[in-house]
Amino acid sequence: MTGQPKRLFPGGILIPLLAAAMFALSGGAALAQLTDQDVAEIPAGPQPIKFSHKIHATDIQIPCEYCHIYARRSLVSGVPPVQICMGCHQLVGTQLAEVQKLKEYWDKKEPIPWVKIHDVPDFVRYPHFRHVRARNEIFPNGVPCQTCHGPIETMHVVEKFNPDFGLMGWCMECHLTIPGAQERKAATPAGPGSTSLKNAMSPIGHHRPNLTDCLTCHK
Amino acid sequence: MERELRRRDFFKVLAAGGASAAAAAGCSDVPEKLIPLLVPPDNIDYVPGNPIDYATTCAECPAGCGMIMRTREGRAIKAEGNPDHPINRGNLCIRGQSSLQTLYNPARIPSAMLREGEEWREAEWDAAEHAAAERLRAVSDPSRIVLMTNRADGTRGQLLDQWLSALGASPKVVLDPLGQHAIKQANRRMFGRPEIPQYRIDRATFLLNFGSDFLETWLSPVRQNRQFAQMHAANDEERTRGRFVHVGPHLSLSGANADDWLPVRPGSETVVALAIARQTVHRNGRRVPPGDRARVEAFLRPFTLARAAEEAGVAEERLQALADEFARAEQSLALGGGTSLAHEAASDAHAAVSLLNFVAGNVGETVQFGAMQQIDSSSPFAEVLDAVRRMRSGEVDVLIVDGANPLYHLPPATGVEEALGRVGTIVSLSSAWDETTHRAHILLPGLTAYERWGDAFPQRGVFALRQPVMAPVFPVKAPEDTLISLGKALGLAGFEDGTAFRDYLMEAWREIQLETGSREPFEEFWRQSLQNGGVFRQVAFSSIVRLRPDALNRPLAQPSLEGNGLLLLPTPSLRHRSGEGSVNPWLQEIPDPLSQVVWDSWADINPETAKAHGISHGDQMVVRSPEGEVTVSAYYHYGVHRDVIAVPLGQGHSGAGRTADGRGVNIVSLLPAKTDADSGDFAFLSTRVTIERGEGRSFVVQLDGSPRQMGRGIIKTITPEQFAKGEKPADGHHAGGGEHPRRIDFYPERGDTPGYYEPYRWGMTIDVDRCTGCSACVAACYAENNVPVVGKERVALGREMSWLRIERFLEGEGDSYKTLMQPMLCQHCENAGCEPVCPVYATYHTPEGLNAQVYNRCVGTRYCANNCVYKVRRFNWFEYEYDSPLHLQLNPDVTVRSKGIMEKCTFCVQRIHRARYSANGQGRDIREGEVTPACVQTCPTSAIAFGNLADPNSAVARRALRGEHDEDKRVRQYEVLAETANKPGITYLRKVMDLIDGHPGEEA
Repeated sequence: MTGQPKRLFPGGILIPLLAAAMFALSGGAALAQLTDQDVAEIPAGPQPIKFSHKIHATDIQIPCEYCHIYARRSLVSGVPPVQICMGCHQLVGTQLAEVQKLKEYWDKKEPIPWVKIHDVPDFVRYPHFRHVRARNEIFPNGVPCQTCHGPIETMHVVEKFNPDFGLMGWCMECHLTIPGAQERKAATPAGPGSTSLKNAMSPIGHHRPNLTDCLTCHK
Repeated sequence: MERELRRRDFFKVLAAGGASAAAAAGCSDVPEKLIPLLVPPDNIDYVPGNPIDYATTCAECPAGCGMIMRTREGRAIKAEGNPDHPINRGNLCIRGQSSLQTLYNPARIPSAMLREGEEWREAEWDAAEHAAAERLRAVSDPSRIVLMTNRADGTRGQLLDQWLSALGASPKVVLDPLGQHAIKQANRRMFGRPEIPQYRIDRATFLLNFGSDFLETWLSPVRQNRQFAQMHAANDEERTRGRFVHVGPHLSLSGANADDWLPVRPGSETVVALAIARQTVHRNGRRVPPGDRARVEAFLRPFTLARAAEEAGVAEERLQALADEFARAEQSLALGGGTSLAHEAASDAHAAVSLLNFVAGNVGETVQFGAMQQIDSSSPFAEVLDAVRRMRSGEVDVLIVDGANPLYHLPPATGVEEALGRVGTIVSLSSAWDETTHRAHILLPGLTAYERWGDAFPQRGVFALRQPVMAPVFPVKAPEDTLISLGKALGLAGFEDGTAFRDYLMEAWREIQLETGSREPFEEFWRQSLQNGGVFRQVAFSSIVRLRPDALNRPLAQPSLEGNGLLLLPTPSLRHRSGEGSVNPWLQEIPDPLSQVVWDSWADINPETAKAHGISHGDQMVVRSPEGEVTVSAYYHYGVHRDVIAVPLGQGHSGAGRTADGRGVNIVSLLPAKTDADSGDFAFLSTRVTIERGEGRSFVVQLDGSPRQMGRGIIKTITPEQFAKGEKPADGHHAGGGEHPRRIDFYPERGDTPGYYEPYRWGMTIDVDRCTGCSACVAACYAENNVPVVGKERVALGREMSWLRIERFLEGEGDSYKTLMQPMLCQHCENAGCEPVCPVYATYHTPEGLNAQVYNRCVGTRYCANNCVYKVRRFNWFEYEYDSPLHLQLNPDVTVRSKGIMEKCTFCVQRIHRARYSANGQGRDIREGEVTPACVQTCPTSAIAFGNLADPNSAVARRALRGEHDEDKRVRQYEVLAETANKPGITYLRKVMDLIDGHPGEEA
């Protein structure tokens, strides 16, 4: 997915329905055979519904941003609106008890109370879209989701792939690899005598944000 | 994974200590929930995390300023001015900034209620509405139904009229104590034009103000602040500056901005204006049309300067000098307004001011008729009093109250309390509890103006729309819709189908579309109008205005204010207007810029008068009028006439919620029920009072610390002569000049250190000569940055949390004293005092020139605050609460600080980041004007500028003149407390001010 994102569902629920139909016709056909027994083998997690990223992202190959529609546009990636789930699950997987649970929420007009696994402290600003849309030497096409969230497409139950997720040192491991960051760290705020700034410009023509400055992330 | 002991864990163990250490170290965050949307809204481009702005119209006063309400995730979080709106051009005043707290007022009524004896019972909406309809139906004679409201602007007024006439009820009563009928009446008498003219303050070179508080509440304060700065503030290119003289018994904020003050005896303004008019004709008669000259001269003949000086109690020479200056002025303007003219001969006083403008040739120039200003939808006060009289004599069966609060706003002398008791049923449509709502029987609470539809037409060519900026905070209905549905239940003609008010409004706007000349399909016109906040057309207000043949037939009377004791002058409050603003915590916590008092009332009294009565500053003072007495704190103020005490309106509520209740006194309770005979306006200046020292000292909290600069040169001045010549004033010893050695640094400049200030160095300039002290910036800062409100008791301990404050200093004494005001905030110093003393490196200078405060590093030693010479750092002594639903206002881009954390101005770093995200996303750096901190955004006089000092072409760099070769050009530029070598990032520009007793301000 590249380019300027457009609203995915200008026609409300129509396009997801079409997509669902396409899945049903193509690779998704295999899914129609999933049974509650198959689902029972999936380990239970803290979530109200046994949602499996592995089935959705690996088995059916749905791209991350098909559901996480805000990641490219906003500070938050956004939990998918229940409508997006129902776009497919009105037709697909209706035989499964877990999908029935989803339908119950939908019929009751209640959102699903997912449990937050990847939590960044409230005093940190983490703009998803600046990472997803990054253009630099290390990430010429944006930071892949897996860089922070791990091999999430292989997980039945989402968990932090690294216990240090959300700790500052863990963020800095990456931030210090961006060209110029080490020089910045040496230059500021330690004072005089440091080297001049190398690679201060990003490949797309702006001064790089200072990825080692506290205020870049701390709000 | 094996984990060593981390720094943070170490601190946790250290903090918890002893046996509980293990438990403390082991505790983790409570898992949070992720609640998705069920269905994303598809009519807007809704993206969680991104703000959506809605254009609407401010409703805090009748001026009709355009507003952009910023929402996040469906909550309104910040009010800003609409830059396209011709009235306020993007700025708001302190009350407009606080409108969010009207929306989230904790005293709002959450549901329909019915009274059972003394108790209130929550009721189903339909049941309560049915009960109201039954009561209305049971009325034998519909003229015994009265509707009282506080605002009837735009189409809403039309609906009220239609509804009442369909019902056959009495015409609507619109209660606003600060009505402006006297001006209209005066202009009717003089010119046959019953209007509030458009005052072009910006076009004047000399402004003469008879009492009006044009920078606070009078007419259109945001516009007037802007125009005043255009007219009066120093123009550094041409080295010119307008002159402003205030005439009246009291200096409010507007008067405090004057270059000179003529403290006239109250009520003598009429004669003073006529004497100045006489002198103007005498000196420069060419401006009077030849046909009118003879009768004007004849009319003015008795009003000699000597007589006026005698009546006003001022020296004739001063009056003469003032009159000559007025007559000589290239373009003059006389304003008349405020409560000091609101006496029993108010229309006569305004007529005198109108005549003065006429003889000075200002009509058509700085006083323009034909603007059709509708910034006052109120009924003449006499009509309100008549409604009360009818209620009192049992002629009213049902009273519908919609936003009006007669029990608070009307003096008890009107018998309003008894009147409400005699009304069979009171139905309240008000959105929040107040004195009157508590007396109602049926509550059908309304939505606030920010959750409902509406419009306003503040002047010709300005059609402003109001739209809901968010879903209702409480499940209640707009008062208009309640009336429509009551009308349907009663089967009123025109209301049979119960069309929603939105549709009613759209119908009205079909007419407006014709008026604006737009030819698009209506849907397109409507959509665009909503998006822009209305339709704004450029119209010229040229209109030929002649003096009426009978204008001068009647003498202009002076009020009779004879009697013993002091005259009581209630003054409109910058923060609370006439009482509406006191429910907003920000407006209580932000000090009055002049008195620096918070959460309270006070009585301005001249120190000489006070001493004669044995009363000291801060003493309890009993004020007695024939109508009653109040006890209020005495406040020494040179800016009040010796025969007057002035008490601000707006406090002394009971029953309006915990923010407002029991704060100060409601001074209206001392007033008799008198009106201006000619216009029916309320006569505020109408009673004499006796004063007496009360028991003990008052607990009045004042934030100014020392009112004197003690030669510190915090606010510096330059004399008009020096300014005209471009001559740099010499600073005194303690103000950074004189024998202080030039500072020598052992370290290179930050700017020479690699990594710093490339490509940005954020900086600010503040022009003290433009600052009027209006405090809008302070409220904007509270709103944008989640600054907590701590309450009077904690403010008294010096624990207020404001990141930005208006500092006020006095210079001189007696009648010739001067007031200096300037915004003070974190100076983002290059060599900050706070930084080296922080043991945990929580505060430091960022490479972009901000003084950063990293909350999660801060351990609360408070060393930084102790070492800051500007006193701008604030410490969270507690975890401060937000009464529900006030918490909905919090800005999610800014951390809500917890107990034990130091905080201060960040230059709105969250806005810098937003600008950076969008600029870098487009592959470029941030451009000039893309970052606007909240204070800069709202400043109506453009006193504050913000930008990139590293860019020599930026406006802020050109204004700050910090370059190596700029030293000689820095005529007005200075840094506060420069001698402390903190190298602040904010440059101030000196105020242009006359010397007091031969000394420049900072030397006093």
